[in-house]
Amino acid sequence: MTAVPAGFESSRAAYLTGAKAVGPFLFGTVPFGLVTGIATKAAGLGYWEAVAMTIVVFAGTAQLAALPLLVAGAPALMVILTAFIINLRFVIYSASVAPYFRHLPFRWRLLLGYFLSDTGFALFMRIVSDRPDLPWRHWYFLGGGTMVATVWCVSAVAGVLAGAQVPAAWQLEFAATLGIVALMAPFMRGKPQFAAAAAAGAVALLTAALPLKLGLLCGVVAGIVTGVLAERVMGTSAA
Amino acid sequence: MTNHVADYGWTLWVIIGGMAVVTVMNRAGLIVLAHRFVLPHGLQRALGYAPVSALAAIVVPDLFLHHGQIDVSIDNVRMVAGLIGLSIALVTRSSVLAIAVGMVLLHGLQRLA
Repeated sequence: MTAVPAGFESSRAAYLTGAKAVGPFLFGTVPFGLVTGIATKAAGLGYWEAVAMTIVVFAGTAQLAALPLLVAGAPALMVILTAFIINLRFVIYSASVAPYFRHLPFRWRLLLGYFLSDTGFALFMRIVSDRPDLPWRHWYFLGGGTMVATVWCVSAVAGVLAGAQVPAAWQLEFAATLGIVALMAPFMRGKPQFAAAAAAGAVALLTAALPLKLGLLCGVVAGIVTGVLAERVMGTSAA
Repeated sequence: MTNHVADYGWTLWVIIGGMAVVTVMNRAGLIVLAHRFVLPHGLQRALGYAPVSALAAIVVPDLFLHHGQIDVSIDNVRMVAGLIGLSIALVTRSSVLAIAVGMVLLHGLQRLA
């Protein structure tokens, strides 16, 4: 782990430090990008559609989650709503970093918002928790964000290209389902999260016959309610 | 399973655009509006359960439904591969390993069946 810097001499130093700090985490970004690209192509999207989704949406979890819905022919609004719900975690990150960027002009805040990622958020909060008034901190954040975005796009596009060469018999679209399964794991650290996932899954399964994929929304509501109640009963202890 | 992706036509581009817009809203919304809006603590905690709930709500029917029927028997290859994949991800924290083992199981079990 990189030590917390005492301060940055320039915007350039801050940017480069931020870009370097995400380095170790890119070992996770590359295979995740590859799998997302391959699964997107395997689900039956065209080259340009798959590439556009990767770059413009720039949110692998939402992209992976959209694939089984698209294959099943879910309504457009339901797919978009699902992306919104899955990316609600960014609202929480956004609320946490916002105070540190309050002094910046609108275009800077929009730019930093676009590059908000799980990794970038975690690293940024670690350095500002020790030095809340760290100068050039927005450049540090941008360095990490642009690095993650670049590596993500390159590996996902490589995945799309590779996915087109793969025979359908390999059933690589199931990699998207497994990818979602794997992404659930870090969210399931505590008992309330476990309970939320179990309730959401069970309710979604029982209501799967509802039209317009509405069972998905029933599952999400059940999961949130169960999580909040479970937190009240059990506390936030680890599972 | 029938694949309906081709049925979307140009609607797929609307979906891609819509996903991009809502994602940017989620990411940048509060950073952009930082000076006039603070997220209440209770809401923030409740939102914390949204991602895992949505992921579970997508994946559980995908694994447990077989030709539209709930199938919890050992013959449901996707369910077995998915649950073992989840256990691997929970224990090892490695998503690559979980996906790799899950894919191998899918093909291996299909061959056995």
